[in-house]
Amino acid sequence: MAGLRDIKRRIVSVKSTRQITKAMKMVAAAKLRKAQEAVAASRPYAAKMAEVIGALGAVSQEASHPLLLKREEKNILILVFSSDKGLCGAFNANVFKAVHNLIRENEGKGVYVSVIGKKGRDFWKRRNVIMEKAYVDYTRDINYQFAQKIAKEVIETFSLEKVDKIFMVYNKFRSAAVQDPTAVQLLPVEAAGGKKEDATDGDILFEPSMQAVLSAIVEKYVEVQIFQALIESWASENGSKLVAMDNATRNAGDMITALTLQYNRARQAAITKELIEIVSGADALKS
Amino acid sequence: METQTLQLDILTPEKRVVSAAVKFVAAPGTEGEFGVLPGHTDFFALLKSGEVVFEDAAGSHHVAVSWGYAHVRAEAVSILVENAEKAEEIDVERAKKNMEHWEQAYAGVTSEDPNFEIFRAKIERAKARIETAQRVARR
Repeated sequence: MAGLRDIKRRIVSVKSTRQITKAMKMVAAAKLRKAQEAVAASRPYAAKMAEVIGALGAVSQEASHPLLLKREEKNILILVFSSDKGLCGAFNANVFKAVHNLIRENEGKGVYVSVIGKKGRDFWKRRNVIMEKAYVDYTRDINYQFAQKIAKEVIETFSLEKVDKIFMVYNKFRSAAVQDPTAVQLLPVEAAGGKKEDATDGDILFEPSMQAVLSAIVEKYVEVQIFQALIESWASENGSKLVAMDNATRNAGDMITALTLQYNRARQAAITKELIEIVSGADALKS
Repeated sequence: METQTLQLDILTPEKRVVSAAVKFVAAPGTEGEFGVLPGHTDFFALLKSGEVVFEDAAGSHHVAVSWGYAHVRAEAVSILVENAEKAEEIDVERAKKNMEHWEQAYAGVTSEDPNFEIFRAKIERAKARIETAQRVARR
């Protein structure tokens, strides 16, 4: 029976797909745990950094730094955090949607994008924007050095006045099931000035000088923000992948159930048909 | 009001290395080493590669740090650095090998080379790690 064999073949194929998605789900779960730990471990540093920048902003209003200066916005750069691999649900689509919104808000200005991740590169290559830089195959080296490299290039682009404002768009990690596409301004650095009690005692000592401290810290701050975005995005990617693969596994299971039912019905129909043929054959002989 | 202990945090982007209540902290500032006792005035300092020493109830501890900065307040010290390793955790052999490697690279470039400063920083960092580990081991 050809129909029967076709169904059987489909069952086997769906089963092997299910096995793959199940394995991918497990891998995503393991990576997610690692990424979550990395996010948790880096938050104290990032929080402290933001606090320090806030305190500095409060006492150093007059001490300017090139990276703090606002300029007339002619061109903007958007740093897009996407993934290298697909099969992670709406992860990339969400980021791209947020980027589109950002571009719409900045209509009339020149838009550059720098993307991190293959998926982003492939997507934005075909869009009406200028691709500044693309960092691909980064998943293996998600570490601070990588963030430093990006930061260095971004700061250079900004310092050369090629762009006047830089945004980052990435998936902020809430939980495995929930990620918020977030857009934040990276440069010029917005020192959340005038914050709480730190502002009152303006007699902080600096060594070697306020200017030196400020310039060292501001650059560091950019690095830290990029690093933070990078690992948040990585955690989100795996969370998104976990959910997507879980759904896929479940769907494959449903499909197998339906196909098995269909298979059994077809087999039963075939048996019935054969029986009828035998019986009618016997009847024909008898008469 | 003077507090008796300082809250010391040594943080790197990748993890929290130390979080402890301490009596005394010494850190390698770019302008020279400085010590901090509870009640210190507000103070920002850039750090160079070297050794942070702190004393808590259990005795003194050494941590090798690389470039970063310290934020000192009356009751707390936050040290934010790129790398920090407790003396007990340093792999001296590896650090030595590392240092040799970078010294060779350093010898091959002139001061105009963009990598010049990077190599020197790498050597300094390796040196700081070795010295920190050896000082602790000697005791």
